[in-house]
Amino acid sequence: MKRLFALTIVSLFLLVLVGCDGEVTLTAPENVTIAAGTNGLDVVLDWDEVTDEIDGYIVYFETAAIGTVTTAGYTDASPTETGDYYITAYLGEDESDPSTTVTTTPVNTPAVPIYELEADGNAGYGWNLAGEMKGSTYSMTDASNDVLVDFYVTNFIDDPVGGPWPLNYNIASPTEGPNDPGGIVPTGSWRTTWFTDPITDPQAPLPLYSSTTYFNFTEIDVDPIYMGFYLDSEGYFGLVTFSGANAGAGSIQVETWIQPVAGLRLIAH
Amino acid sequence: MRKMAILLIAVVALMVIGCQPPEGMTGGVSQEAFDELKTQVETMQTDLDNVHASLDQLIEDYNELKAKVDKGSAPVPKPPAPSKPPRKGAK
Repeated sequence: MKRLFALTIVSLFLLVLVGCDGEVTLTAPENVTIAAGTNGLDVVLDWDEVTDEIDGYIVYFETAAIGTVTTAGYTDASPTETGDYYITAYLGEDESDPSTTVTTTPVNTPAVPIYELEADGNAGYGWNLAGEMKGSTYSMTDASNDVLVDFYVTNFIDDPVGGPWPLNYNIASPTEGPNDPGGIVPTGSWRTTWFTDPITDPQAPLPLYSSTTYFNFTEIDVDPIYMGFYLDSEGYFGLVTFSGANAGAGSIQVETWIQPVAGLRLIAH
Repeated sequence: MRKMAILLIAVVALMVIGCQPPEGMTGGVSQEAFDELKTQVETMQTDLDNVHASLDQLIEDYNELKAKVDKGSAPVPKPPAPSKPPRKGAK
């Protein structure tokens, strides 16, 4: 009986050993960061080295492996699509859990009405950069909104009281507000934003930031219209589209996309 | 003939005497009334001079005021109406 018991114990121990053979738990990469390359098109990923014995890392884009590296760090050269990236560590056939996800997907704010500067509604618009990066409209007559507004809509005309508010409208940097002929924007520390000329392909990368490609305002002269923007303080690029201008109401619909990776000109969505 | 001459002299003398105003009268008006009238005329003359002076002053004030009004209402160059700002490139 004693002999049978000992045999059973040894057998179970051997089973445990055999069952565990080949199973290695790898630590997932941590502290993944994402940034734009100096050309504004490359996506630069970085993370902390895993201290376990590993062969390297696998980089994924939208669940598809796009590259392997033996040390931390990877550059996705000029991707044409935006999306989610994550990393795993691997050793032989073993692979760690995925890291946290980082993304280049632009944050979309669906269309909302915005108004010409002197019309009866908010003419200012800004993104919550410290939060989810969603856009909201703001009044341009309140100087305390100067830290919130990233652009406003104006026809650069001193309109009669009660309208109409003639077309064409313009998207303009808030810094132009106090000097706008509308004459209702108080002085303040209004933010600076720059705008491209109208864009024909809203999925293509935005132009390189320069004094010949970005301006203090752009006229909204077709319907619909797309134009890129660049937030001067934070370096975020994004895309704005306007449609349905209504001179009688002084309104126009605006929809936006903002790239959450500062300096990245890719707004494909 | 001599009688005729005496009569004529007498008539002339009577006419001269008869045409003399009563004592204290000048031209049918008493001296006092005449002096009073003279005083009134002099007063009226003074008043008229004052009126002339006042009128001259009034005209002078009017012209001065008119000059000021004309100067004030003269067309003043207006500042240029605010317009669309120049489009400038990013910095």
